[in-house]
Amino acid sequence: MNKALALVALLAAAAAAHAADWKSVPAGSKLEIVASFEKTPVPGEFKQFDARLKGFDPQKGGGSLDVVIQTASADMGVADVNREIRGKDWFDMAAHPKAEFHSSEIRREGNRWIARGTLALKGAKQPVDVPFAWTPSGDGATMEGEFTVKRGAFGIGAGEWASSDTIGADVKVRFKVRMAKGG
Amino acid sequence: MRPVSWDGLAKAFHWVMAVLIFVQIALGLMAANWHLSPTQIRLFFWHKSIGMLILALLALRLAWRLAGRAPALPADMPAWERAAAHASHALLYLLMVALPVTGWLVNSAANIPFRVFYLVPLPPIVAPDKALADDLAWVHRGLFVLLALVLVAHIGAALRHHFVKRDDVLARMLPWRMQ
Repeated sequence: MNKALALVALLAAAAAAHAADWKSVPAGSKLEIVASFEKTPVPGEFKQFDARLKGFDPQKGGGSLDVVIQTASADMGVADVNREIRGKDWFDMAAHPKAEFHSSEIRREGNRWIARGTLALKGAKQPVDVPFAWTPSGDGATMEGEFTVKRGAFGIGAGEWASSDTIGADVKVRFKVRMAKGG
Repeated sequence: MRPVSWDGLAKAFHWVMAVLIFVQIALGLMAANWHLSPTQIRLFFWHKSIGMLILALLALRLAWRLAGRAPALPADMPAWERAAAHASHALLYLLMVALPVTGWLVNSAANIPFRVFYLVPLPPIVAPDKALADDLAWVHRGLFVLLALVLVAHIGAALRHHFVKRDDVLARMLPWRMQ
């Protein structure tokens, strides 16, 4: 009995040792979005964002992923487009300066992880699965993955822009984020 | 011996290009004055696609022209008219190259991804530079004004040949023969 308890305690301690808090490092991190314009991919990025993993165990999963993105840091590479997307029909950045993702669970799927949660953007909340690969490197790790969202679900591109003829409905989100240990 | 008339290929080049250029001018003027909207993007898309088509057709047309099968001008044309004819034709060819190329430069400097007729990705020919894109857009508009003036002279001269001088300069370029 005592032996069994000791074993459970040991395992719990081992698990606790693996679960840790992680925080994104801006250098070497990238959060890209790929929209489409007249059926041609248009790459862009959010230059300022913060990702945190709390109590994530790279062997067992668990914990939570929280990402906060500064919408005003969006850069689509074209000056006129950058000006346009600040407006009400697009990100309405003045009213919605932040987009946030909060996971409710992180589970394994094959050799990658799925953070299932909610993306809050421009006042809309939608369930989103964020798949990521976790690659330890040095004293940190790299989170890498991509998923697709429908811009219409968040009212990104309202009014006459809602039609997906010129600006496609799907927006690919691609990220490669350097994570360092620590809250 | 120079031919007396333009051959079918030359006529096809001339009239297809004429139609494309007028469509192109209409699209360009509409796109430039439309508010930023999906419609404006679509207008620019067709303007850019047709511009690249004109540039491609022009390469073939210039090859034909440089092969030297153009009919001679009427023997009784005064020297200044010959000079004006050669200068305006050279200018037209030059503008048919310069307008698509400056448009391509504007699109490159503005960093706008573009696929010609949705098919062929157009590679950029200069690095993204907003200020350069704005300057090049003015060059593009300036060349358009010049083109409009040369087209007025070209069409005016063709009509003068036909109705005033009563020679066959216009008739020999028509897709059908006129008496």
